[in-house]
Amino acid sequence: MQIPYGFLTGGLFIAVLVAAFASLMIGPAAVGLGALWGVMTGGDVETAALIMREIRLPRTLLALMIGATLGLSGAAMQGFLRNPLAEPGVIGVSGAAALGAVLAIYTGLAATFALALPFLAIAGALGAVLILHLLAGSRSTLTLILAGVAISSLTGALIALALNLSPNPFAAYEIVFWMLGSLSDRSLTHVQLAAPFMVLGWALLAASANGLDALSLGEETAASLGVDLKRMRAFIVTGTALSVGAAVAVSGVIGFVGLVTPHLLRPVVGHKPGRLLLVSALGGALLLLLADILVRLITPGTELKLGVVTALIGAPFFLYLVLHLRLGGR
Amino acid sequence: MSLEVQSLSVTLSGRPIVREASLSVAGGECVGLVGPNGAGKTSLLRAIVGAAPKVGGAISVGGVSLVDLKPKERARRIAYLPQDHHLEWALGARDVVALGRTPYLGAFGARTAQCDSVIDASMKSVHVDALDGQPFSTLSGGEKARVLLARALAVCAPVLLADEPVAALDPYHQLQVMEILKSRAQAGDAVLVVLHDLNLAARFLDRVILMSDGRIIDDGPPHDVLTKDAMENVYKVTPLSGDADGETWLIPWRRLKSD
Repeated sequence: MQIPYGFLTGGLFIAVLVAAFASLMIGPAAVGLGALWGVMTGGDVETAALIMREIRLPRTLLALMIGATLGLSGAAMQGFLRNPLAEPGVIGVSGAAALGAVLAIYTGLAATFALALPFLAIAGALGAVLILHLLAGSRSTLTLILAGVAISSLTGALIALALNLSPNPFAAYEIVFWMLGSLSDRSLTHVQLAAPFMVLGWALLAASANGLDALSLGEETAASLGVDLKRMRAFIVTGTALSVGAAVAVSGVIGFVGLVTPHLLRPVVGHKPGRLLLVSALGGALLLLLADILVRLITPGTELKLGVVTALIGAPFFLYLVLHLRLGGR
Repeated sequence: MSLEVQSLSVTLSGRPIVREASLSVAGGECVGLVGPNGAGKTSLLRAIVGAAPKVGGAISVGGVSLVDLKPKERARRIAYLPQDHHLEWALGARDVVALGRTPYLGAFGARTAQCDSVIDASMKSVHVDALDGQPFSTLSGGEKARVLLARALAVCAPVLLADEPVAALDPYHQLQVMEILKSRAQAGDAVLVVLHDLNLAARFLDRVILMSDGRIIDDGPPHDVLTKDAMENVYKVTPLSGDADGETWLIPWRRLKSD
């Protein structure tokens, strides 16, 4: 079942490019290649090119970046916690980012200053890192998970409180819809805002590849092989918070991509946690691009939220995968 | 290169586990660390490789203090083979051995051709080269033990610490692993091995360090250390011993009645 690494990454890369191209081409308005070219070369801005630049391009870029973030951080988190059921949200950063965003909507800040929402969401994710550091510092991995669960529950409760106390039904409606996760009506400003945090997060996660491999032998042996476990943990927690926090900030909470992607691709890289990182990032980008195209195709009028679709497809698929792997031999 | 440990202490949850242990293993020596359960042998090894916190004491390899070394540099000097055979993911045998090269990789670095030849040689030296792509989880206990030994050898460190490498192995593979460790020492490495099998210790080791209750209480050639008195005082058993083919054999025979 193992596929040569170069072949696999090359194949996935091409698939991502094709999906990204399809994502640029598919939508309610007929926008051709000319418009795409017009945007790329900075030429004249007609309606078609405007659609491309203001709607399709940001949407495609965000699907790519967020998918890659979820796949990469999911793979890193599963490798680090040595648990195939871990996902990026397990340490509480997505919950904290969502709380920041909800507060921006609740207080009306988001209405007066559009970027208040992503800013507060990223601040929430960074706040979670700070709390994780204080609670779990250099203690065991179990303490980290417990602290993450505590943060998730608390942020969930606070979001519920905000909904409970929301000044009018519209605010509650807006909060709920935002939480479902979507990529529609985003602009290149969102891309620019999220990109630096994501790239920094990706670098921190990618730097942990060798350490994750060594961790297959357990913490003790990894330490004897020169892996600085404390540093690796700080890298993975911070890298996840930065990239996933930025993803939640611009898209809301999109589930299952971070859980399913590494799970799906693990056998084809020979179960090596380090190699899974890049492959899972590409796979996550591909899955989210396809899901976002699907959203536009199946319900063009009242668009389904992306997070709803990933969960709807992801959950049964995940169940199938687990049953297949557990019951079907290996 | 030699391993030098001076007055090393380990405390776990406020309980002293290793007390002021000092020992040295020269290059070319195959030394055993023996003693009853709870004597502090594993904690001592773990503290030496930096996998357990030590309180006080100094460790040096080839005259260089480990405190002055970065984790990767330290890892290149001391290879460590822990007792448990647990592996997280379903890696292939060769991939497990390749993990021994971790201290030589850059942050994003890939393996080099030289790495591959070291991995080949390590697998060959413990006769697991045929297993190559076999999933580790499908291997027998003896194969797992040898694959993990190959992993430790692939570090190419001048010092090798092995924690009960023959536990759970059948007699054939016990003898084989001891011969491999002995040959590493003969090739110039400093080998320190924790053993419960005192017969193997008596036969294969150049020197034995006896631990009891966190302290090193004796250090010398096997026949000087593993005496009837020591067996009775430390292990609370009476031994049988004799000579065969010019070598000494030793069997713990009867438990002393508890006083």
